[in-house]
Amino acid sequence: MGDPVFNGGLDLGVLGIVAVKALIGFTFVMVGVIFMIWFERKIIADMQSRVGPDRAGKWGLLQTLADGIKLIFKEDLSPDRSDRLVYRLAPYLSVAPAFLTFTIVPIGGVFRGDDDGTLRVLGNDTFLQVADPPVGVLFLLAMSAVAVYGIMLAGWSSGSKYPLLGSVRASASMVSYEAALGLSVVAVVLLSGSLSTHEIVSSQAGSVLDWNIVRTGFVPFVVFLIAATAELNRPPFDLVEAEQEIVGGFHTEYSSIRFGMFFLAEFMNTITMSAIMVTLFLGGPDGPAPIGPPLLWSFFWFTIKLLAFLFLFVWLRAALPRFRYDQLMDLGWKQLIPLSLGWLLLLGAIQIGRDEGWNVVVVVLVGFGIAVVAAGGLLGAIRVADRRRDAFAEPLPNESAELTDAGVR
Amino acid sequence: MDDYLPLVVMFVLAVGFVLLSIASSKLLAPSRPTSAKDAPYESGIVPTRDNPERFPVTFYLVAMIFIVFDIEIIFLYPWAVIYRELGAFGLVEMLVFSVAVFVAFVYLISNGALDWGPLRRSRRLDGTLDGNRTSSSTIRRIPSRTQVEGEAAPPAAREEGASREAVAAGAAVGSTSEASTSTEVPV
Amino acid sequence: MTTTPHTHAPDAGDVEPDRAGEPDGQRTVDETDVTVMDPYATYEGAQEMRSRSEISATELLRESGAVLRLSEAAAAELSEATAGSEDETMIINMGPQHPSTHGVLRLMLELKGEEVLRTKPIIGYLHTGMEKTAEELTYLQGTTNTTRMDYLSPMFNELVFALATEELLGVADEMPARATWIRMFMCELNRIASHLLFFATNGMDMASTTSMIFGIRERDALLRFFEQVSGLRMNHNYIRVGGVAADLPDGWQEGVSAILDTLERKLVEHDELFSGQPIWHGRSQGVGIIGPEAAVALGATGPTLRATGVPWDLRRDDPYLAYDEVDFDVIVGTHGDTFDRYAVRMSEIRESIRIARQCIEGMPAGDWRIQDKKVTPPPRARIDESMEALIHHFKIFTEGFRVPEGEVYVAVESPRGELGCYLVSDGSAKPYRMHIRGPSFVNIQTLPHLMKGGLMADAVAVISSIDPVMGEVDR
Repeated sequence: MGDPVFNGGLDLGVLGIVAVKALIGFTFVMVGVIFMIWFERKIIADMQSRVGPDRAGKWGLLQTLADGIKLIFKEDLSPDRSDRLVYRLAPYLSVAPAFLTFTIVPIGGVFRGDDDGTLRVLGNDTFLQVADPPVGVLFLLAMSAVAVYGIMLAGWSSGSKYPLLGSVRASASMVSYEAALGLSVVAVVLLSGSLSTHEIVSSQAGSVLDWNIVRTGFVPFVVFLIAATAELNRPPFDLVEAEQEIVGGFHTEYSSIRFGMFFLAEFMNTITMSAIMVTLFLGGPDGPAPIGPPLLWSFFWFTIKLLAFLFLFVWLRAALPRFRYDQLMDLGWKQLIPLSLGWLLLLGAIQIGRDEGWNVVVVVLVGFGIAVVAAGGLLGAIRVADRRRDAFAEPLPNESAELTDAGVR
Repeated sequence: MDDYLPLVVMFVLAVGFVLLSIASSKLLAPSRPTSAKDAPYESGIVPTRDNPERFPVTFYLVAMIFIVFDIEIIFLYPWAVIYRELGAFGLVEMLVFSVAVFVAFVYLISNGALDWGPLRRSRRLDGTLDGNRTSSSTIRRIPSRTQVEGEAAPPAAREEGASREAVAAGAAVGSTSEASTSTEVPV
Repeated sequence: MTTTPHTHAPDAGDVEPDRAGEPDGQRTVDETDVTVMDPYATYEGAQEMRSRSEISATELLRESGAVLRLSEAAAAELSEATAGSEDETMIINMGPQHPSTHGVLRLMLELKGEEVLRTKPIIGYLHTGMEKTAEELTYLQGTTNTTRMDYLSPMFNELVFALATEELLGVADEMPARATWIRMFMCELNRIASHLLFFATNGMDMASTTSMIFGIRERDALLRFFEQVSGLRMNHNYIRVGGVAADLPDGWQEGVSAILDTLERKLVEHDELFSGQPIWHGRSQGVGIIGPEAAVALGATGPTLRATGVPWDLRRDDPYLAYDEVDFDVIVGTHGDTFDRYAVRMSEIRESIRIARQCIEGMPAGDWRIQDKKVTPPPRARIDESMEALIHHFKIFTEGFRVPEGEVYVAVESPRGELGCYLVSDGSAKPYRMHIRGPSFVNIQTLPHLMKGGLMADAVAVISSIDPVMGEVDR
């Protein structure tokens, strides 16, 4: 368990490797963000028959950098009803988790055959990921929980109404989707038998059929993808920002580079979540290596898979309108959470059944029966709730004649 | 604990980066605050009321329910790691636990703790909210000339026009007794 | 800067605040008071929404979406049911500087969490004094002025002014058929352009950015055609008193046919890509419902009214131009929600395409304006030959023409509803008074009713679904 670089204790060489790896990770994310923003703007422009940024640098590649520099030169304002300390702290709370989450992603390494993804550098074995804490995916959940604080506190401390609405939306919706996110990851942990991201990638080595997306039966992947989109505040779940409704939400009052930090964190999170999905479900850097050193191919496959997710996020943004708040919460609580919980228990039962020699068909049938009962209970509950709400509901325009006459409607 | 060292390094890098950016902005950016700039944004209007002290309880309910679920999830993780060692016993344990949580969840839902939609029945009534409703199925067409020339059916529009005046008159005195309450307009 | 709550807002009992938009006697006093206190005050006096304890029961009911006017006593009885604790509510300004208020509409919303309890539209942020300006411009210049009111459907504004003036002049019968058909043709194209922009903004307000770009892209083809015809993309001043400014350019049939064919194809695509998807359905169906009686009582007009099922379309019910000579359907909705308003407009685009095609086929030959030297300038060729023609030309463009005394009201069906022009002439070359009945203005009255009980996100969808143009509201 853990990164083998620490097996021989700490010395200067090990510290050097750690520092270099952290720097590489840092640079990867930063360059990734610069590229991602450009990529998103270009792709969306293309989908909308526009040109997109094309002034700064070749094909507008330096546009993000130019925007960042511009933001540094902007005046930094803080509204006079804001809570100064928290207001200033919030960008840090947003950016730090974004960087930290990326550390647990293996960005390369050969996992086929006898290789277990280690690389020998300066006499030390090491993984191609910044850190491999034994609690891996729990760390991911912890960091995404901290990121909620950044957004929530930013909105709350602004002392202004629209950001407040945004922060309330954030605290409720991001928290809801975190439950769905956590539940769908358990399925991965179940099959990989470990919380460490490196182990999870190792357990998926082989062909596409060994990837968790197939082994967990697609449902956890889909749930994770939806929950991750919501967790990232990407369209169609970007209610926390929703410039058409709450004018940017939590970052309405932020200006200058503090505002830039939120955007940086958002795009960084997009990259990180895509990388996490690659790690958890698509076998990380796993892929065939026809010619040349397999190590280079592992970087290639990782990047390709990452880009596929980034493209998907951009595509969603171009194609879909935004959910409404109640629809978002209904989707999260009443569909994703029960679904992922049920699927997880079914997966567990099948696995245990295989160990104990139970008949798989029987297990699935029993599981299906339980699922039907549970779904019935859930639907019944939803109906009961609807009926209760109707009792309090206001009458319809054409519903109540005497009220119409009286003029309430 | 060595495994967490890189996280610390990364944390320092991240915080350092933010600090550096903000500090450089502080040095490079102008600072000419005015009271208009510092006013909180409210669509160009100077707010005359403070933010509400309290927010509707549903939002906090979500947070509380989330804690229930978070705990469930946290229990699931250790089980997922060592479920093979626990075998069928672990599965049954987990099932019982999940059923308990699920029943609580169903109770919460039936109580309306997870409802946010507006208290308006119209959303669910008479097929308003229907995925099959398309922009061509929800409309009706009334030809422009058949009624003017045909005279077979009394022109609906004229009637509607008459009741329009009637309602307008009724509205002025606070009564709609004359107004047609039927939503059906003859085609 | 300190922003003290306005505790000394005008007492509800003192003055019965009238409909939004009408200035109030109380206002000036109050404004100076606040200005002393706070140099950045943006207080709008009686137009603003106040807390429940400060207002009368009628006002409370009106802000909560009541349709009818009641006596204070009857209202007080009713409002007891709707009066609630204000502990958890906040009053928030949406607009004038807000991305989704279609220009500078300002709404004050009372929110409980995200639920809208009360709505009060505040207008006047785009006041340009066009009705007053019209009194200083000759009838010939009048269309230049009116075309700028509803800047999304300029043709209709020109048309309604021109029709009213012609009615006063008594030359309406002399109008050559070609002029009438060109007017009808251009107006229908303009209706398409306006509804396409509605499609764009409605999508945008539901955060479907692509639909915004697509709507504007499709509209641009039409604007390019307008430019060919009138020289301008907007504010054409093309329809003038006595006819139109110029004949249609050569080859216009092919150009327009190509645009309409493409548009028809694209509309099918848009229906699939945007309005056919579940999120769009969820965002617009069952949102902002208004019944036919309420819509009629509130004076709603245009697609907002027709979406409730009331088939009221001036083109059919009070035909002007040559609408009684073309075939088209009046589109009415079923439920009167945001989705219906969207569907009605989208189908009206198809009907307008139908009318435009009939115009292409049936466009009569002949003159495109009245040859009345008192009203229209002589043809260009005659100016070179005839001294008299030159004088007429000069006089028409400097002094204008005199219009007999009288008053007239003319209404046309603009993309937003009944657009009326009330014109009073004192016999001079300038109108004594012009009043425009803007459909956006009356449609805005339905907002409190539509928004009641919806969420903040619904509010945005509802505003765009009634498609207000603030230039027309404030005039």
